[in-house]
Amino acid sequence: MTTASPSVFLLMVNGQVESAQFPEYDDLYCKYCFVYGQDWAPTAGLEEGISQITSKSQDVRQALVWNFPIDVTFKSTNPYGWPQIVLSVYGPDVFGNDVVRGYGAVHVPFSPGRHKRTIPMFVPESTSKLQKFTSWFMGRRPEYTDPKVVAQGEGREVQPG
Amino acid sequence: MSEEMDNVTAEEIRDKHLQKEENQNIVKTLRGKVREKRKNSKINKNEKSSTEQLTDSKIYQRTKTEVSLDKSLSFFILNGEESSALDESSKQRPVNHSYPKCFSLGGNLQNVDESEDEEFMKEFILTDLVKVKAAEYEDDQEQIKKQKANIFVPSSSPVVNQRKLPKDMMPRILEDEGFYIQRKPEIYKKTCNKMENRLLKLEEGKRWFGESGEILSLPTPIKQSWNFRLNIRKESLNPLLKTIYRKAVKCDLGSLFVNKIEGPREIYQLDLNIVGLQFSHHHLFNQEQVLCARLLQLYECFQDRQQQNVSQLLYEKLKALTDATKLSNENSEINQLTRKSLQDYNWQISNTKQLYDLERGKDLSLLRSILRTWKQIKSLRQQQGFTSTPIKLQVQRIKINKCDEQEQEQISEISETEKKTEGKELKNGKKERLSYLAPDETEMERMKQITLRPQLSFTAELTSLSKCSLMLRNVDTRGVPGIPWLINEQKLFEWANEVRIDPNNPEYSDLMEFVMYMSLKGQDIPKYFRLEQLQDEFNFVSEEEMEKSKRFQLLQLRNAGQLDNFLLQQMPLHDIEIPDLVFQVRRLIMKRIVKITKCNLSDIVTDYEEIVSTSQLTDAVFKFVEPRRKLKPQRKERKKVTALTISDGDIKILVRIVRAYNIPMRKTTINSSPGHDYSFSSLSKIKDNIYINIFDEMMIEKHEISGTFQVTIPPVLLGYTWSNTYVFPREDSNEQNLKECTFLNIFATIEPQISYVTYNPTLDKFLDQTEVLQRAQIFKKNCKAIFPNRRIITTVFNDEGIQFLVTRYIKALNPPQQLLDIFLHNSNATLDLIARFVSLIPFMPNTPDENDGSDIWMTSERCISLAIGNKEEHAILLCNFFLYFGKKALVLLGTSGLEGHVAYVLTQETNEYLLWNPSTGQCYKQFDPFCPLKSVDCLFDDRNVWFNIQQSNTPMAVFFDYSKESFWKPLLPKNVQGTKVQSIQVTGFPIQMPYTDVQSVIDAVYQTGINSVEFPQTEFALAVYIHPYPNNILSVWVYLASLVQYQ
Repeated sequence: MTTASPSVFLLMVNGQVESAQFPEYDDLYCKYCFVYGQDWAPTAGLEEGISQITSKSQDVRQALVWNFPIDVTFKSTNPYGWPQIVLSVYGPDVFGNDVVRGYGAVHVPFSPGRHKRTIPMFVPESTSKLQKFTSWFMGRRPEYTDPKVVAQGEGREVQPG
Repeated sequence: MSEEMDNVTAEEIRDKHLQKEENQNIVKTLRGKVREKRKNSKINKNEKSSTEQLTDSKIYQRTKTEVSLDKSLSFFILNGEESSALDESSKQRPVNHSYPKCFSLGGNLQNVDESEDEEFMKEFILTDLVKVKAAEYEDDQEQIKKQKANIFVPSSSPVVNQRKLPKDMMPRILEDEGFYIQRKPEIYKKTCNKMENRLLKLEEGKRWFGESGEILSLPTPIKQSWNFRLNIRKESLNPLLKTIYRKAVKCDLGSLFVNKIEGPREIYQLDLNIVGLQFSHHHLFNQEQVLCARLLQLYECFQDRQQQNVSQLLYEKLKALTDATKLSNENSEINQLTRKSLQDYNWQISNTKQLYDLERGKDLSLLRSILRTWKQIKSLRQQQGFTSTPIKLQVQRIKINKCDEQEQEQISEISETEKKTEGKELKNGKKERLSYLAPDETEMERMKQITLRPQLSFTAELTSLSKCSLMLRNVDTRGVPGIPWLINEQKLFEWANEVRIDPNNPEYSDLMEFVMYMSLKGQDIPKYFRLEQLQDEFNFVSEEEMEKSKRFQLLQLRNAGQLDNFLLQQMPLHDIEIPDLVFQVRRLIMKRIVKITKCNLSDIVTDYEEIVSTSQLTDAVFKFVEPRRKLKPQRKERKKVTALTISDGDIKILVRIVRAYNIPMRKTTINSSPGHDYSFSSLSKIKDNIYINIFDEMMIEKHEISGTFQVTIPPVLLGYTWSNTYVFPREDSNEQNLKECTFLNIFATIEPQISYVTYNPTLDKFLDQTEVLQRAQIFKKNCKAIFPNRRIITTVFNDEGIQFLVTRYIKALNPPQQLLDIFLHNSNATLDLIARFVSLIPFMPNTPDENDGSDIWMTSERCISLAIGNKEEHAILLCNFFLYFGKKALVLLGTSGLEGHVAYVLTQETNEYLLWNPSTGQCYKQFDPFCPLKSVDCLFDDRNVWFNIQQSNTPMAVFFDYSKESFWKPLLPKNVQGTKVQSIQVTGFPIQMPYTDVQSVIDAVYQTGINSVEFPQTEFALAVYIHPYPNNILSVWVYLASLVQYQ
């Protein structure tokens, strides 16, 4: 039994959340976290982070630039459950309430090298018109209790009835 | 304008503006005046006429002034100039009447109506006082001219192409030539014209124009890439027409040569349009196509020959020669010269004849081969049953027209005459000639033009594709495309293998192809279909090795959810690192049934509190308006927080003791009690911990506990007495109980409120589900639909993982004899003792699967032998013991304020129902206010399951008469209860026979056919008894029985 130094492999992630395109919104900040399988464990770096608030660039691109660094190292014994980075973007609505503007997830690239990923984002919507209105009015849009669900399969089944 | 304005003094401008309105009047009056003067004054006619002209012109111009201010101004200025000029002259000369009037126009016109003397006076003075000077003026035309020199206004009229292009060049529109031209961004024609005009003014403006005469412009920038849109339609692209890319090779030699010759290199473009390729032969041609190609070739050859028409030429020549010989023959006197020439003619005739014959023969053979090929094609088409080429040959038999016939006749005549001459010559004994001409007779007969003219056309009807499917089989049987004549392919293949022909020999290329084809055909293609045909490549190790791998086993176990207790977070990478201990631990873990846990939407998404209807919205609004009574605070519903978001330490337990009953009093005699010393020093010494027993975690479900609880107190409480004055709420409880019970009314809750995780268990289908079990599932579902919060358990798994109806667990069980022996005469005490005994059986630690519907219950016997059990098993055990005493006992499922989900035992006494808590051994009456049971949801005994469908499920409000279907919904209908519950059908009989040998006994058993039961899960029972008689006589008894599960 050589449990003293179990053999693992390491996955190092360096990068940044560069910019976003949210044509309708401004003054957004983003949050990132990682979702990984049972056999994975972070060894170094930050697993979560909240960026600064950024405003749209004044040029044609209208990009929301964060340049928010990510630096984390994982160790694992099993490629199953490869880490996924989960991004959630928040910003103020008309009344100044902080509401979610997008969720998205992407796997950490499998191959070494420089990669660029574009993550499509989405938000959950209220079921009924009335609720939609009230949630808009009260500034309490539906959001995930845990943004990590976007990278998980649990609870995504179609429920009968 | 402004310049003009500057020139004119401000006064004048003001005046002029006034005048403008009066212009009409002035004109009239002026006209009148002038006419007057013409009549009256006898002054110089010339001057007068001049003024007249002047005024006329003035009038004319005045009318114009109405239109534009510029003109009027310029007029006035002009007028002023003139008048001043005149005025100057008037100083030298005697003043004329007309002058002041003219002047007055420039100055003040009001004077016009005044008398001439006054006018004159004023004019005189005015001229003295005011210096009248002509305004500096620039003609606007000139102005424009000047401006034109500097300012360029491009016109927006279209520009003629000739101006844009180099001389003598026609605009070339590439689009019309079939080139693909990208759509250019849309520009207004006017703008474009302006730009063109502008560019033309530039020195090198023509550079901007392309060959088409339009401004060179890039294609529309909206499209990011410049894509050549090739019109490729899939269906039209024949796979045979796939193009092969060949890299263009630059001819260096040529370019070098060009470079040497001319310095500035010009690039020329050669556009090639290859319309199509026609193959004269191709290895994929079928027989018909091959023949067709041959026919085409022959026909082309034939046509070439027709065009050259060598035979015709020879024929003409022959004719001319024969004519010449005839002519020379007619000259009777044959001198040496003519003779010689005749000889020459004859020689030539024979020569040309030979040639002619040859040519004709060629023609004929060509024609013949054309016909032959055509026949072959025809027969082939007939044979194969379809037509794959459009070729069609028509042979025309051309009737030789009359003139030709005449000629023919002439020729025949000639031949006749020749015959004659021959005859003559024969007489002359000229054998040579005869030898020359002898074949002519027959030759000349044939000496006709070819009368058959083949015409090739591509009009033959192709067999439509729909018919081809039938024909394709023919093609298949035909075999190799290249070698259509093969019949026995196999033999040839064998032969080719034997002979070992050189594969590189081009002669055998067809054969090699055939061999290849055959060997390919011979390869065995798997007859089955594999969904993942590449799976083999991913099978790194064999299945057995995979199974052996500890790591893989662990992974599988984890995937099956059977590795909860596995301490290792990460799966070790190597087998060596996996401790064997893990497997030992694993073996101890009870076999679990795999289940699916599902999350609710509310667990994942937080939303504003759900508003379903508008009434709820108004309720929410009313809440704001409601009067608040600060002295009567009410408990408010708080927002739920899901357990996922809360970390350790976030949750607080709030306990409020509302009221307490029967708290034991401290004995007053003891003065030294630290409790009496409320001094700071003694209080600071208190180190007691406050214990709050939270009875069950499951209480989260209710979010708050509120009610009266009995405080568990030590049996002997030293130093405390019970107050005697207190009137205990339980009137009917006995003295001892009354004295020694303490109750607390407690409101306890947790902060923040956590939403309770509910599971919606959906059990997987079990294949061996019988009708009863299905019925139980449906019953459960229906019950849940009516009262989703009430508990109902109809089926459970036993410790072997087999699903059973809960009723199967209920069976009278003999309590341990020792217990029965203690109170032989007091049955009530015995019951209490048994309840106490059951409560002492250790409880299984809380298993997570307790409330997810897939319970695993052990039988009572097993429970007692293992000395462990869960709440339900305790209740069943107690119930079974009670049944032994002949009591009417049922197991009750409900929820308790203290313990959450519980199972009680309900016993029916003569006039009341008793509730037994198997976990404490305590007995409550139905109307006991201190009974912790909060809801009664479900009952079951050995015969049936009842679900509480009464409005209220608190024990006090519930009618326990489960025979009433309006209160209790039974699982099994009454009339079928007896038979339905009997889920095993026993059939069998004894066989008695004398013993001969074993085989005969076995045969006898088989003959009963009891073994051929077709129901699944049939169990068999067999008992054999052999009774000995003397002298080795044996009587064999075989008892056979089959236990069929009820279907």
